[in-house]
Amino acid sequence: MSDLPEDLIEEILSRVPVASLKRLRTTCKRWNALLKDQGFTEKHFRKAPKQSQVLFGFLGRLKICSLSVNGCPSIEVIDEIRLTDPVYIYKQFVISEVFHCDGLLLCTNQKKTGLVVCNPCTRQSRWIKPSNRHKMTDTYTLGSYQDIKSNNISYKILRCDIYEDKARFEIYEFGCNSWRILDFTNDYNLARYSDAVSWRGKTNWVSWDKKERSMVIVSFDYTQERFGVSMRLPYYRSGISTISLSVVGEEKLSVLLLPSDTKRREIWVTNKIDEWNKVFTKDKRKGDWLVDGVSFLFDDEKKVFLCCERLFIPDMAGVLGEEDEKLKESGRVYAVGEDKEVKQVNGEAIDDFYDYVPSLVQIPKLSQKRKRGD
Amino acid sequence: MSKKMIVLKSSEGVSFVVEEAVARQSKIISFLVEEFPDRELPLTNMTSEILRKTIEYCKKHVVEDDGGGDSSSSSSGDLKEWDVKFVAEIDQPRLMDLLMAANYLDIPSLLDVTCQKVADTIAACNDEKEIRATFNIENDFTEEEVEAIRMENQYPI
Repeated sequence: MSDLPEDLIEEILSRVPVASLKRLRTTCKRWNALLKDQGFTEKHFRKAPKQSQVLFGFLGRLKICSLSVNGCPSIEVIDEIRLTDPVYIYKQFVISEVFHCDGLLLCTNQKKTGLVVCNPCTRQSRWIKPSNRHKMTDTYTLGSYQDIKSNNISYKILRCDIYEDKARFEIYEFGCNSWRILDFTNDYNLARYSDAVSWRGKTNWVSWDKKERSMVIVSFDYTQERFGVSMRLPYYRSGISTISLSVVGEEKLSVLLLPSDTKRREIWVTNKIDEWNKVFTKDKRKGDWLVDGVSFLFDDEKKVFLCCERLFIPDMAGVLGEEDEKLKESGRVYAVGEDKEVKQVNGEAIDDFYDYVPSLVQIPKLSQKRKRGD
Repeated sequence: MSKKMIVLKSSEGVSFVVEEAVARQSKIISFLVEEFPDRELPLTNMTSEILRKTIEYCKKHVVEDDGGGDSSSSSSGDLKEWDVKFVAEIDQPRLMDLLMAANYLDIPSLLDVTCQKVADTIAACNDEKEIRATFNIENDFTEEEVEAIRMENQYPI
């Protein structure tokens, strides 16, 4: 193998799944250097088989886990994300919200005074100075676009400042390390009905379309820097109490609907715009395990539905980052397989989770020109 | 209409008579056939064994154009299964030779399946020592350097 030309080594290693890549770094110097090369990491992102892991959040901690659903469902922790607070360096940064896109994590603390993008696989991170106008109620999302000049995939951060019906937006560009106000009026109520999810580079929300008087899926395009209706829901009528979005394996978008009138919950999956398939229904029973604003995952291949009770804690700030045995009791995860039987998943306590596909994607750097000017 | 044949010659001087459509899956052969028609093509860096394997792959993957429209001799699902079996039966050193042949002859699909097979073998290794032993790679790190990389792999970020 040592006598293979560089491009063939690249061809081979770009097909090794991320989970197995760590030990490649200590194999030989040549491989170690290659794994840090941006050209290689982009190639790897395109070619390597995508292996889903689950990102679990619980009281300010983030853990990357593998989920086994055969027989008795269980969670195994692979890694815990620990970030050192840049201001108080002896303290751990307490993550209150996380958004992920292409294997990159965008984490914020509760006061939104700290903002960091990191890649757990490469241990790369970049702290970002929040906008001067930052508020506690801000939500941040990350998305990709194709840079016209370099033809490379790059990333931007969107800051949403939503107050009642008014919304203001700012864009952060990694190259010039600055925030810029987006000047447009937005017709949609974002972040009020569901969490945002990243799908095919764009950020998607369930939102109320004022003109159509219907719930739709709205997406933000990071190239055009505009919102638009990307898709209709499988159906909409008043009385749907909860709608949640989820993405599995970066390929498929799924939506959970809880029509309160039929006492039933439904999951629909799509991998094409406006082509929904109903894949799962489950009747609601008294004293049920499912509450509003639920985190869920649906694995289309294994036909397993996973959801968790979202914790309601009146004074969240007081307990973030604390280990509390009582709290651990409440963040339970349930799995429902094809037999429709509800099973509690053994393992970690959780209040939020996401399907996460690790990658070697690099965090965009400050552009060279800017660096000299700074 | 009789099919046009061409002759490929291995490093040992063994000649293989192949249908032109089969051989043309290699972009290099496709180019050479047009430049030098009616000549046998010497492939001096390919052994007969590897050339035979490459031809076997190309024969399976040839798309027959005779019936108007593209119709492959097998369905894509069957072909995938065949590919998996094809690379599974080849031992490690020969797989590397086949990979290099696919690269040299410029046969993208064969390069893809051979690279994926090698990647899967790497992923199946338990640690770097097993990878080095399997692929005959020299360890050019000092103990300290390995330790430094391991430290980089630890949190906090």
